Amino acid sequence: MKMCRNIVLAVMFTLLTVVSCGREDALEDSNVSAKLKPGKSQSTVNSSSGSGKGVHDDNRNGKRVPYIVIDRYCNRLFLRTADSILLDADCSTGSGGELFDNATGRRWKFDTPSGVFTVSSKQKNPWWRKPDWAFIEEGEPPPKSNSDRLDANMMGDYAIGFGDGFFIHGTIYERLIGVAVTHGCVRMEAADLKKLYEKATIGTRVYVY
Amino acid sequence: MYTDNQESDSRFRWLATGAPLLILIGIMYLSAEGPSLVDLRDTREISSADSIRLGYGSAGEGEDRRNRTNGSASLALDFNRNKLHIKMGNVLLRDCDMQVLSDSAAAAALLKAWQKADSPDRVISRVHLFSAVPVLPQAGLNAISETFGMSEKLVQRYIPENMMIETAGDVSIWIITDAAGESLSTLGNIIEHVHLIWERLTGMKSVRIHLAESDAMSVFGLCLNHPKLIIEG
Repeated sequence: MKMCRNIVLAVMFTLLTVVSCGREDALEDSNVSAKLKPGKSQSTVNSSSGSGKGVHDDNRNGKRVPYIVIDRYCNRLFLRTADSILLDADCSTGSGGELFDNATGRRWKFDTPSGVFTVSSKQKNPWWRKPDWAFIEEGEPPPKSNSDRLDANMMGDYAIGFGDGFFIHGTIYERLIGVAVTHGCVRMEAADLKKLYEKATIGTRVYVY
Repeated sequence: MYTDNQESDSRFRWLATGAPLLILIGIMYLSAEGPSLVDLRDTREISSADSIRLGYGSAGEGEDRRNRTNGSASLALDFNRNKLHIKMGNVLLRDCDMQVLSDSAAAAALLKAWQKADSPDRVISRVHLFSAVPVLPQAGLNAISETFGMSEKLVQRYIPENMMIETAGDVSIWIITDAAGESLSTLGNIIEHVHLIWERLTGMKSVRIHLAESDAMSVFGLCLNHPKLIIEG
């Protein structure tokens, strides 16, 4: 009788252990899928902080995840959750200007696109491989050699990629921060960029409006 | 015989036919030209196919393209909580405190008109700045334009003092701030007022709210892209 009771207890204990491990595995799996599928919205948990009816946080599996908001008109960048602002910084966004290359007929529009993006890369001391438009804009023909395109200083100390070839990065023109003068990337002052680089991770959402 | 009564009759007839005609011409002129700042949206849209390729680092173009998902910001007004939110999907982008300046009857009439419509949210079709403070001084604007060859119109930003946003003919929201602004276009403002008088006659409801300057600036920038307007409460 006592043996039967011990067996039942052992089976129950094993079942409980398996169930709890399964839950943790499931949570980890969903964390991974959240990172692998950034396009799927994870924002389903209502904010509990009274930030507004119908307003949600960028929650993933119940964890409050900070996200980046870029306001193109005000040229401001926020790192925030639904109820708190972790970083509020001036930035520079795309000018909206256009460039036309008479020689090839190519045309560029220097806009920062709106929408939802995800931080896809983080790089320290980035080098810029200048694209054709950077030379055409200066009235020079684009060089054939790749090494003639490299610029070690233009991007500042850090670059945070958020898709479609767009980056949040530093600049040597810090006096123009706050003015929409870029070719589509988002420029920040060195100190603000360092804070953002430290706090943003791969997978952090970027909302541009 | 030509009597005084006949003269006043003919004057009345002229008014009866001429005044609506003038208003109509004003509306047609406004529709044809539109508020100049709204035109920005079209130039952005034309270019969407020509995205910029920044040949940089190891980021592959194809891989990067998968990072973007569709999303457009919307403006949500909550009269119960005196809040104005800028949202994308359900994610809060900007949380603004607002103060309703109109009396409660005006707000109630606007809500009633809003709830009568089939759709709970509508697109902001027009935005007009009656007065505003330019962010960049003219000297700085000239320097930037000359150095980078950029249009002043694209680089300049405005802090609204008095602006109006409107959905297709049924609801208008006036946004007032404490900024000490100046009129950007006297003619544009007159045309806009004529347009609004006409719309009020045809049943448009409006309400006035007060926002902080930075919030109003952000809302103005957003409204240039014709976002959805959601009214709650």
